[in-house]
Amino acid sequence: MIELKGVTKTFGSTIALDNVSINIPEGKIIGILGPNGSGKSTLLKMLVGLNKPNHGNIFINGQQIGVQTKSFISYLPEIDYLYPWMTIQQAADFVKSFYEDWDENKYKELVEFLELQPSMVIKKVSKGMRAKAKLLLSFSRNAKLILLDEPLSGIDILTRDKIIETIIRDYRAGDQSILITTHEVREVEGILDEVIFIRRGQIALEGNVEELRYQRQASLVEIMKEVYTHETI
Amino acid sequence: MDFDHGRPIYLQIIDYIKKQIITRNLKIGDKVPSQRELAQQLKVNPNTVQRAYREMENMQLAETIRGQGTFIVKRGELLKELQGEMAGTLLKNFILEMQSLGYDDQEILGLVEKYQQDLKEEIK
Amino acid sequence: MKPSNGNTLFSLYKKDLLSVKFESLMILATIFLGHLYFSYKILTGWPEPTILGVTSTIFFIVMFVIFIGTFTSVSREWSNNTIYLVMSLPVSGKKIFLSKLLAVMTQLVILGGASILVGSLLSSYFLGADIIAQVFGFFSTHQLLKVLVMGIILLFFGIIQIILVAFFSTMVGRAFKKFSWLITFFTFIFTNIFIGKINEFLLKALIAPVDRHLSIIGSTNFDGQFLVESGLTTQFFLLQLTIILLISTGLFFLTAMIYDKKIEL
Repeated sequence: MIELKGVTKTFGSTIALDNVSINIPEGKIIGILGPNGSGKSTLLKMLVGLNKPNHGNIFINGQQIGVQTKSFISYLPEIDYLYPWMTIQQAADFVKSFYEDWDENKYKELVEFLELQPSMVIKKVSKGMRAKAKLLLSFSRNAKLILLDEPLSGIDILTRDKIIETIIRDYRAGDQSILITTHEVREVEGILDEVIFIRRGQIALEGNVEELRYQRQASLVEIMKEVYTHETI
Repeated sequence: MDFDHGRPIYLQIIDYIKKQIITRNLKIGDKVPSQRELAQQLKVNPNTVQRAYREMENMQLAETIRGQGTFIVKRGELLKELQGEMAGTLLKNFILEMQSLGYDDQEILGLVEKYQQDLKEEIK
Repeated sequence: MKPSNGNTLFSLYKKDLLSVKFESLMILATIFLGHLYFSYKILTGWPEPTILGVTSTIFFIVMFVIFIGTFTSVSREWSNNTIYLVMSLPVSGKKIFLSKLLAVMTQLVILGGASILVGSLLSSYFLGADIIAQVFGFFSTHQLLKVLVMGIILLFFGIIQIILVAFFSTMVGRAFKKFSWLITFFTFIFTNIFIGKINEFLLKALIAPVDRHLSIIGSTNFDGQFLVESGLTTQFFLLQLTIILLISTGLFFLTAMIYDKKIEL
């Protein structure tokens, strides 16, 4: 579904992605793991057109990145990216006008589930609430591809649980794809189908999570430690 | 429910279902939660639950009827089988552990009787 | 329900307008308070004609502030990080900048209009309503109405062009990671100079020497009024307007292209 062919991305002298070629399958929840600066956020940004590769090509469902592909992707960056002066309702009205896949019922349900008020002004609420607001807007759609960049960082434990629950609750396995980048491996272990470990811009390890557990009799956390402390797997 | 992430989660889900049967929370022929419900309950990936359910069908532990859901098979011996299976695993591990502590077979049997007695006294 | 082009454009436009709600209200307040203050001054001794200077100054300040807002309209998306939202939306750069253009134009029309309105009302109050009638009569009897209209049209599209140069400069600035503001500033200046040169070249090349210049002959007749005659022909007007429109269109598409292809976060 997502195809990277020889993708290289540099920022000045830093190599974020180094000749990466990979096929990311459809219909799974995939974790893109690695320490800070390993290139994971860059990968996500490139999928939604916020960055362009220096070399190589990216295809989503066979199409080039553009207005067409953006229409079925829901991107949740790590930073606060909503208009601070808007209320949650205003933000929802804004976003909804751009997407065919907006689901008003889902929105109403999620507002309750996440314990938010549509009248809340984004710049006036706590960080945890803002994270939930971002999530609300992303998941009120039936997007084919959801990109979550560090969805749990800086969030308190209770809100994290809510976020994980939100991710699972309406997930359409086999039809929808979710890409999650995080360095909080422990938190997302339970929900990942596949994992891709990025180390210094290259893919260090990838595979089906349950199989990796079975083969190595280890959790992802343990596997990750292994991947990043030894140079060879 | 906390999972041991060092083992495949789908296997642990199957264990969980088996335990439910043994503790009579789930009876033979009962409907198990839908894949989506269970995924939400346990906070795991629906794909993982799907795999667990598929495995359970292969193991003839459960069966899915189209349009109706997934049910524990109607096999009278199921309970006994599961009990035996669980007991077997527990006992094997127990024996191996005791042996690693240095006890021989006779001592192990003796200790088992002793502690069975102690437990009876404690209950009084 | 597939979002229509009109829907998405309107959504962007609404957002761009609401983004400057506070500043616009401040400007509106300044217009009223400014005029009020100087009216007070005139009532307590200042000569009446100063109202004209006051009104014009306030008007130009308003125009200038809104013009600066053209740059901040773009830079604010970066400082708020909302550019992450905007860039991930399934919309082309053309719509994004069209929306911003419309929002700035709306500000100019409404706030500029308010300034002119308040200014005209106070001017007619202090200078007598017949002055306005006189000025209007003056214009219509001297073929100047047509000139005035053509001038206003050129001014209108000229303003659009400047706004587009501003947008273009911000995009060029943003295409570079460092010194964005400096690059924006210099791009703005040089683009205007460059456009001026092209304009001059095209006019010289395409208009017969006789009608080349816009000539304003000012002469005073015996009671001190200015007679304005111009050599502004319809041909010149149409040509200049076409040039402005072509340059504006080119700038617009160039700006959208830089946004679509070159901007990275």
